[in-house]
Amino acid sequence: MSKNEKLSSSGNGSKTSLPKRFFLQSYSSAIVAVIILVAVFTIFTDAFLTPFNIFNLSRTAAVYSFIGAAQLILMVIGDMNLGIGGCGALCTVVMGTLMANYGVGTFPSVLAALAVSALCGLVIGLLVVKLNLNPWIITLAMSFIFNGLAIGSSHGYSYEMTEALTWAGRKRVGMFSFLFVLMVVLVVILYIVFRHTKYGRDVLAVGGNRTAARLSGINVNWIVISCNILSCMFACIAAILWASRTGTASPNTGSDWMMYSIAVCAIGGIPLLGGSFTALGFFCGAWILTMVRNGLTMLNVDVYYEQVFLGLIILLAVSVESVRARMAEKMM
Amino acid sequence: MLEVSGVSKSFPGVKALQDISVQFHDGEIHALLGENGAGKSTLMKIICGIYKADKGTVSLDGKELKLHGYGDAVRHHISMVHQEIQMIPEASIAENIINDKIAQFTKFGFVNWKAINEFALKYMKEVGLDLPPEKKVRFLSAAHKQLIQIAKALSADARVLLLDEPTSSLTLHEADVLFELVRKLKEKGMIIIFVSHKLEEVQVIADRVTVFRDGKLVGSDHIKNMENSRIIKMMIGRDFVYSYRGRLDAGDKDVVLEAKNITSRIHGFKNLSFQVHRGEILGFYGLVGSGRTELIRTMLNIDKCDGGEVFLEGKPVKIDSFKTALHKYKIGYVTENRKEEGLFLEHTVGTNICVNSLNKSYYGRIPFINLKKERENAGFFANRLEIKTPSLSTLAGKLSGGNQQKISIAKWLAADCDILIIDEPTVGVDIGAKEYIHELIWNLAAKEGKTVILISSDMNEMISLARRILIFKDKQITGELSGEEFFAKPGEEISAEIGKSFV
Ligand SMILES: Nc1ncnc2c1ncn2[C@@H]1O[C@H](COP(=O)(O)OP(=O)(O)OP(=O)(O)O)[C@@H](O)[C@H]1O
Ligand SMILES: [Mg+2]
Repeated sequence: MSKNEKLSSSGNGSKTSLPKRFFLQSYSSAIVAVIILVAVFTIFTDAFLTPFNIFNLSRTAAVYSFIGAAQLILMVIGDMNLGIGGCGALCTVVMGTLMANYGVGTFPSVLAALAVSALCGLVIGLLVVKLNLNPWIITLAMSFIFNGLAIGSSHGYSYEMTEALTWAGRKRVGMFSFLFVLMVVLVVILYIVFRHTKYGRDVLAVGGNRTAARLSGINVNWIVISCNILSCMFACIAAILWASRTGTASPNTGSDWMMYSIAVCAIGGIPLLGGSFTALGFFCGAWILTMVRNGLTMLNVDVYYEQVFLGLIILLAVSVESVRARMAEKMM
Repeated sequence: MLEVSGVSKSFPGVKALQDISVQFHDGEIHALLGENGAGKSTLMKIICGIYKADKGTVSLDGKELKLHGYGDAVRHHISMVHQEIQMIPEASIAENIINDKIAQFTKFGFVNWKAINEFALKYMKEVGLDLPPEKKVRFLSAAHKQLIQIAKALSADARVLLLDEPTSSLTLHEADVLFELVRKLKEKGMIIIFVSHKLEEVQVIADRVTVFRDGKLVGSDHIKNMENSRIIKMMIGRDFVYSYRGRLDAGDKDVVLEAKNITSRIHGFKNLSFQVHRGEILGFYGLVGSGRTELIRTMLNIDKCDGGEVFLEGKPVKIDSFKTALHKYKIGYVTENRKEEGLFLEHTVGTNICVNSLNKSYYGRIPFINLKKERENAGFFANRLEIKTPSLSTLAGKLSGGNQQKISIAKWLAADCDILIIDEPTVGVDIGAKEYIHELIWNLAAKEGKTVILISSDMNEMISLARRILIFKDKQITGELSGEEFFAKPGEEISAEIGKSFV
């Protein structure tokens, strides 16, 4: 190994067989899980692979992918956002009030919601950076504030959504929902950003080692603030998609997002400590969560016990991935 | 007697150790030597149960040891001090010393703080550490942390003590205190195994020397039979000649960088000034904590700057963050502490090398990174610095210490800096690689006209590279040595003179 002229080539990738190379990737367990789940639900239920259900699944998966992305963007820098649900609720209410009470058009209302979410993210980001406090505590506090504002200004009532907005939720593109197209776009953008742009690399560097990142000329504060802004904006997009899917804007939107967002990332193999990202794993994470919830309903599992199964499946997913990672380490 | 026989160990892509057999006797200080990546740390980790050998056995007093993890080793009175400092920064010194035996200090689930601090104090005294045991480790220098690690290892009532490069961040004085201690332990009949890249200290302290090369044992002998030249030949497999590098004509060239009256409240210094010329290697010589690193960090606004001015090519500039220094003024800084400040251990070698020069891998003018170009750039610098790694996609944390150091230099070369500040570039680097890094630094200045500020507490390194030296003591610049005549003198004479202006 003393002379390594071969370093300029792609390393040892070309010698390993295809199945082995697949196994070495961190997304392989998530993909296998998707395949197994599809097989199991197709065999044991009648309606799983029907066109309507596929449409339905793709719609829900899209919403979960944005909820997941809201958490993901902070997870990769080793932080967390406990306020995404609150932010989603606040955005829903802003959008709903503008549409229903002030007769503002669909597009300007959506833009206003996005602007509010960006502001939420900016506030969180500035607090984290300037006060140098733990993001858990700050986002926890902000989550109460967001939720309070949402409930307070709406008095808990839901808003009717405009035709234009619900159109997106009903529109089909082939077998899938239009929202699913947005999900694919999201995942492709994330993939490109983290692989091919300086911004994405800087984000991963900050997640890997903050001090080293700063001493590599990366503006760590800007990365932290911008990731918080993106996180809240993703939460806002999720809220908009949710409203377009259900046709109403409820201030209760987002009450369970925090858990699900972490679940999507965890199942997708995104490490909690930050520093790395796999687009395919993330994509599968959103699908697995959606399919499990949908499949359990179809299997007539008592809804009151649904969460038990969810918990078990998350445990299973992360254990399989951990075993795989350890075996891959040995094989490499 | 501790006996290692027939031990082999492989990692993905590397045979770290091949069929190693060594005996370590009671009351003996045994030095393990070899280039970076030769397998020294790996052997130590096998002895103390952190790694399992693929083949072979380790036995203590004739009984084979089958250790499951480091905890087991401690129970057999085997303690190790790691090459990399591993501590809980938010805990106190005492807590760090006792954290693997907290049970001893607990009654009915309550911790007896008084006993803990007294216990810690006893071992801190033994290693010559004069600090309150309640102090948080986060605020301490690398040297102090190293001494705490040693105190911790001793406190386990060790019979076998493994020290992996214990002196790499210690000052001469601190190293002397440590050696005094090690000799006392040896008298008590302990088995002491240590790794070092500093041959002078090996000659002073070791009884027996074992040399490794590329995972194989090259030779083992009593220190009496091992002159330095023989050891080096065994380590690198050829004769080694140390050359005077000659003149570096810089003195009358333009001043590139000038710092005036830099003041820092947190580090407690005032009005430090210096100038560097184009193509010069300026040395900052002094002990850890003498203000050399602190001055640079303050000047670059990595730590808050409370006053002073910086001029580049005669024009005043404002360095408001390190980012500005790098991207606007092309100043690079190879930090002294590679694990904590220099590297992304969980990222690949390639990513680490390219982290601050990603724009060089863009598709022409479009700001997207071309992965192939990135790999080529990384490969170019990995080859140029002869970084030993199975591939560019190996994680940086898996490389040996010296090779990690090379990565942290490579990334600044990749970033094309005009002014390079290099802090302790060869701590933990073997003699071959050290010479290589020296050659590299010299050529940066001599051939490429780059300006280098070299911070080091290694006198030989200073003399061999710097052609003007600022002496730092107690947060002040206490002297300056320059002039070609001065550096043309024999090395010992220069050291003596530096030593004089130092006291
Ligand atoms: N955990 C690991 N995983 C993979 N490879 C490893 C691991 N630990 C060590 N190696 C490899 O084994 C070889 C021996 O490493 P080791 O750390 O023992 O070297 P060393 O002699 O201590 O070097 P140095 O003087 O640089 O500390 C190196 O090539 C290194 O890259
Ligand atoms: Mg080592």
